[in-house]
Amino acid sequence: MTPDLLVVIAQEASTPSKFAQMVVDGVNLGGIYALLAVGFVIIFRATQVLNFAHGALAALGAFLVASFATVLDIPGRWIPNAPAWVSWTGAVFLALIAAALIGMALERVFLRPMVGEELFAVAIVTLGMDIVVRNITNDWIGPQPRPLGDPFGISVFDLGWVRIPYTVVTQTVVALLAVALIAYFFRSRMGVAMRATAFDQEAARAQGISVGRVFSTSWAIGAVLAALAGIFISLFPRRSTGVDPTTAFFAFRAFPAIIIGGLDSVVGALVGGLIVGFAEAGASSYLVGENWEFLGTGFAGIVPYLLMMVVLIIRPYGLFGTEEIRRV
Amino acid sequence: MKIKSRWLAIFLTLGLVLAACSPSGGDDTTTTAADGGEATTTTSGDGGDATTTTEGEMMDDPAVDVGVDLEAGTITVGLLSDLTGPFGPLVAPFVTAHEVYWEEVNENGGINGLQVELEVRDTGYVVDNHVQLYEELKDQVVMFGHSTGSPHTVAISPQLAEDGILAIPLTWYSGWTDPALSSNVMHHGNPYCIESMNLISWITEQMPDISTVAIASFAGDYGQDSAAGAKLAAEALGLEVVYDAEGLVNAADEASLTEVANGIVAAAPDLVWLTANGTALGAIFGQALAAGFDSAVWSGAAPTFSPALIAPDAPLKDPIAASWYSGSYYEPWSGTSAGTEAAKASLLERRPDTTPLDFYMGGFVEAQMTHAALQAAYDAGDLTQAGVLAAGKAIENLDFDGLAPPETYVGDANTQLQRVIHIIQPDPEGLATGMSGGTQIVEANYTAQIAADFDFQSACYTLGS
Repeated sequence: MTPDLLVVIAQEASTPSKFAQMVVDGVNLGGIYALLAVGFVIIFRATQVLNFAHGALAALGAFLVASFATVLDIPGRWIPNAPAWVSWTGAVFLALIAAALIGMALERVFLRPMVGEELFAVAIVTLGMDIVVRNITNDWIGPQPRPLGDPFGISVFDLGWVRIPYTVVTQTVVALLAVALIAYFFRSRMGVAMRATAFDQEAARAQGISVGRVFSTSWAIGAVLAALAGIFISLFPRRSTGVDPTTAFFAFRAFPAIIIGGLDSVVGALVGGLIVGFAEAGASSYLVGENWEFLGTGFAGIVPYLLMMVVLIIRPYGLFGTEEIRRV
Repeated sequence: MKIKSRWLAIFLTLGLVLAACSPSGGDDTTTTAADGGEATTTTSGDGGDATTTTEGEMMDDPAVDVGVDLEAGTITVGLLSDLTGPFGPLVAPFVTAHEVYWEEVNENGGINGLQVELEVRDTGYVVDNHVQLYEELKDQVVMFGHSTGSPHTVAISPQLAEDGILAIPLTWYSGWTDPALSSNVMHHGNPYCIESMNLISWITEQMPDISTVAIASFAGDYGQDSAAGAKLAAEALGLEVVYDAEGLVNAADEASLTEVANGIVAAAPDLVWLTANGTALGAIFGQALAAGFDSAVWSGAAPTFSPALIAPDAPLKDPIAASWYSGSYYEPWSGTSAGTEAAKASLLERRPDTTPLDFYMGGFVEAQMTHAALQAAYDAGDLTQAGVLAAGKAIENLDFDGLAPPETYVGDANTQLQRVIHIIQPDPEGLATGMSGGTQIVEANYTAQIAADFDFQSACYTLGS
């Protein structure tokens, strides 16, 4: 072993490893994309509607946490001696409940009357909802980004060879919990009703399933997942300034994840989210520098779409999507 | 009705003359009127009574065409503002400052009795919207009190020239000093590339060990004009550019932010020059910090820093406060000049719930420039769009009472170029206590040698190049 190589190894050992740091970044980004994608898919599976207001719901969720935790001090004001993380977790729970109620209200007011209408028209309604919710949220956010007041700050687990922010650990745990709860939910009575409704609304109705309740529940779950993604986007190390008027647009980056995974597959959304997250993180770590100049700037942002196109060519319904059979 | 209006006009004029004669203890700002005559605007130090008189007493109605209604007693000024786009957080306070300024002026008699009204349009920072809204307003307003964005203002430049309308660009692109683009604009402040020279020089003077720099920026005039200045400064000061991401940063693209953060960490520079916005700074700084990169000095063009980064609940508050420097041509909220104090008093009187924010001060500068152009045009007896343009472009040594360095619109480009800047630093304590807008001056009225020596021939960055 040459001395030079020893120096390199020593440096690698004493500083965060590039690969390990890329993995942390991939988990962070992929987890957020997965939360967004699963929310999209749950709403799509139950209602056949592609929710263009998902990003607006993500920003609204983050804004609610910022408001509860830093402006209203709820529930902190009622539990003055509680540790900061308890108050903040309480604020997050309240924000998630509010997001669920808002999701249900949006579905009841704007989408229920559209049942039976052309899906294109329903999608346009969700575009309108996006504009309304986004503008109201941005108005509330105001001219400056709103920090979420989380207790994690910039703390990291420094293992020498890798630095893992507390927020990434928390996000990973929350995302895994969310997926486990959703898996459990799909085995419950309502979950089975949701799957039946997704399969055939009329048949489900004939079997006594309250389709309206299924729609409502799917929007509540979708809104909660969007809000969770919005919260994690707005924390260190991603957008450390908090929630701002551009937060809502982040959700659209989850589209390749949904298409890669399959539009109607929750597992697919999860896997698609992680694939896109790791692809972006990998490309932004390794496909840069003089050797890769021919790719141009911002190549990492294109990678998810390239992957999406490759998947669409090989499996037009996505990796886990249901193949649609048309009789002619 | 006509008789009533005439009586009203006589009383108003008498009132104005009496008010002008009263001892106000204010400071004088001298401007050169379009016809070469001299007009004096007197503003009291407390931001209170403001009125105007003119040598030679222009008593006849001025010539008017678009945007001035002598019957209704109004002058209409347009604002093409990005209220909902990426610079909404910066522009919204500018608009508020315009509104407050004109409320005060109108309460005190307006411009020789004419009340100034604003027509504000949200462009969303979209060039097409900007051009469309310009077309909508050009037949309603006498001038534009601001026009947000360089590509946007460049897009309406031929039309401004054809229509003979004056506009104040709310952008600090160096092209506004270039005679090729400056015919219909009144620029203000340090252009981005001069700002880069000033800041990088100052930082290396204070920290002589700095020998390497990473440069990253938004694409377009703002980021790349600033990056061009940073490269000129690096060359002049002997700094090695170890990472160049000029034009790569995109605040809406998470991948670009991660790529730049990774590039900076890998290059490990002594100084990071980043020209973007608060969101991008938070994301890039945060990701670099998460990867263990915490030893560099960070700096960039002024709107890159956002007070939200150092808010009491902001996670990056301490590391940003310890390592960030930027510049400002207008005094920040924490400034103490008479002009700044008057602006703050006016704002707090009319908007008591205002949270301190430095951007308000920039809005007051623009409003005072608008006022100076309108007043000079009135004094010259020509309040037409062309008259306001001629009057504005003849202003020399426009003084802001310390709120900003004086501006001049006569002479060659090097004479008009603003080279003076305040070096500022984040001030989390001041922000938390409401004593500042999040920054404080560490060195006032600074001009680097390389900025002073800079021979302006054309814009540092050519739009579309």
